[in-house]
Amino acid sequence: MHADAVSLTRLAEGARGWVTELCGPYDSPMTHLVAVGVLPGAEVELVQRYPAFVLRIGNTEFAIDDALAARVRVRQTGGPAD
Amino acid sequence: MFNRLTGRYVTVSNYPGTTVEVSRGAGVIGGQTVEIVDTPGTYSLASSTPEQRAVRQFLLDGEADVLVQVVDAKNLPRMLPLTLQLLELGRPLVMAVNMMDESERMGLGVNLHLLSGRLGLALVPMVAIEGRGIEELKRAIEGAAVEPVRLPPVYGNGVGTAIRRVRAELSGRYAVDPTALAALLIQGDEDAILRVRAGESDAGAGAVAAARQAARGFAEEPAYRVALERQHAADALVAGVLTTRPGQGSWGSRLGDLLARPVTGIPVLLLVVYLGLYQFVGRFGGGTLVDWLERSLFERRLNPFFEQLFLGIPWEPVRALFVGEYGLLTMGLRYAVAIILPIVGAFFLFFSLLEDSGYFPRLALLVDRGFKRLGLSGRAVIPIVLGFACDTMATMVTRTLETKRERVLATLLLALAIPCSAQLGVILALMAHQPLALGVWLAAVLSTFVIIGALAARVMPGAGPVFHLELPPLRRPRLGNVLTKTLARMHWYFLEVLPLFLVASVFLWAGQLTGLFPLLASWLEPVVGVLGLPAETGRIFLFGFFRRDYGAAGLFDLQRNGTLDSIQLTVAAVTLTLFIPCIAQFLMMIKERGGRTALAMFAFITPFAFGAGFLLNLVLRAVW
Repeated sequence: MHADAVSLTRLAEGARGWVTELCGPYDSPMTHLVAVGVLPGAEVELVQRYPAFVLRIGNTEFAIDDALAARVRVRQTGGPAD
Repeated sequence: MFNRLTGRYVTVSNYPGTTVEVSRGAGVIGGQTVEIVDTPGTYSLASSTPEQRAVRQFLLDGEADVLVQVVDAKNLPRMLPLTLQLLELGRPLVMAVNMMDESERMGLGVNLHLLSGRLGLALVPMVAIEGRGIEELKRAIEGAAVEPVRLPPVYGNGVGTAIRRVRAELSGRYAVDPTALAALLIQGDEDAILRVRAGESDAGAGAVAAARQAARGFAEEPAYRVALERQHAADALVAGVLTTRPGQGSWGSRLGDLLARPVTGIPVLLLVVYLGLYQFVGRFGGGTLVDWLERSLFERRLNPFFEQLFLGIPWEPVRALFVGEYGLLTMGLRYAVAIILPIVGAFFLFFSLLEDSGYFPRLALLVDRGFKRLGLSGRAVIPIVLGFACDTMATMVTRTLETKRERVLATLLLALAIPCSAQLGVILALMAHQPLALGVWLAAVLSTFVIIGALAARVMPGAGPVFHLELPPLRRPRLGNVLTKTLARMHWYFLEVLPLFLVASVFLWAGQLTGLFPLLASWLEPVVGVLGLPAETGRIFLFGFFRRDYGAAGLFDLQRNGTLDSIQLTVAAVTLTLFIPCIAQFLMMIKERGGRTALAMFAFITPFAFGAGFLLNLVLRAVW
């Protein structure tokens, strides 16, 4: 949909971006993501990549595994390139 | 907050998912005694874990006269979608905006007045832990009970029209506003479907069909579409309500960052295990405190006193029931107070301290990759760690895991390879002077945990777990909060587990008296013989079935009078650790996982424990 959007797993630590799309079924983990505000239009910052991905959104930090991170597509707006 | 309103203890945590049940208590508001119901925390009515489902059912039952939504001030925007869902229910609602102090420290301003006007709700700023705002909350609850409820516009044309269509098909009488049911129906919610089936004259056929048709009209999954629209409505409501001063990273966030990185987090984890578990729980709780209570309190004072007391009773069996070898007072009470209480108490204190600080979510993040190999997500670290205190309680806490598959796997591992603190204390004491035996025991139990966990994850059908967990900011643990939690857990432990222990004592006494137990024990003798163990251990294993710690403590006695050599001690300790959980845990397994699953686990664990003991004996005899 968005030509310059990439999966969250492609961002470097410290990168910021707008969420453009959540891929895959709207299952229980995805419900939780939406509930904490990770949804199209939200700005997120990738704080950490390993051993799990840590996102900061607003004042909340949130940890997700690679499988779930791969389903979040973002358009990078700032921070280091990968 | 519940504690403040009712004056009762309940567990409050800095970790999503340790309150797993709906609690009830009485409080006084506006001169009237009211029932106050506390539910586990939730983000959305459409959630799938059993605890979340309990919340949804409670809300749909419409039992509550006034709902109080407790939100964290610094995360206000993301709590609003739930607020909108609660308003949809058509019940009076009050919002308690908690942890105002923390958000102030973070440089966050919240314009509650503005938001209150937009939502048409009373918003009460609070610091519940210190009791700030409790009286205001009570007054707001009183006020809300008589105010009409109005719902701000939430949905755009698509979802809004769909809800109106489905709503038009609902003519039954419901405890909540049918609009809420219509919204849930569109999302395919099972609880809503059940309620509509029961409530409509056409068994809900019209409404369900309208909901399906509406759902087909969306490009996305309906639940996702509804959530998106609700989120946008929430964003609009919250616009301009929050003001941030660009804050500097607090010590909490920097430390939290270090704990979540393997390079720094793993050394800290090892330090926490060494200081907390080994030094504090093991050596102080299990060593110093147990010694003092056992020797000074029971052996010198209480037991002689109890024996004196029953001296006058001529019936030997009655005397034995209270003060005999397995007597309720001399053994049951002594075990409970002198061995279990200090160890479990020390563990709960340590656990509550970590929990209150916000350490566990970081730990979960660190272990996630490793746990995935066992078919578990990092989230399962909480019940597993809790298992070292009490496997029964931990089995209950597996409820917070997301999938049934994870809950079953965690239950199995808890039953098989996680020794509870009562056992752990006795085993550590037994092997204190035999580091080699301790090492073998540790290796055997740990490899069982890893190998059986990995195998079970392969055998068990179903999709693997997905890890997602909020990382709350680290905070300095508050002593009052930590003590409250520790006491609440000990209270639970004694209420749930102690009666079973005492009942088991009576069983043991009766079995001894009727000769049933010696008979059963004699059947076990050839079995333990195969493991290279002396005949007396048969009795110990039998007792271990009723009460895990009895088994371990029985070993203690055998070792003290020199009946067991090092190999026998190791084999017996490993077999007992892996062997069937105590009866309290088995009952909890039946309650949480169902009778069939619990029996299947029993049928696997029993031969496995003895088989492992048998093999270990052969190996040790060959190489020691």
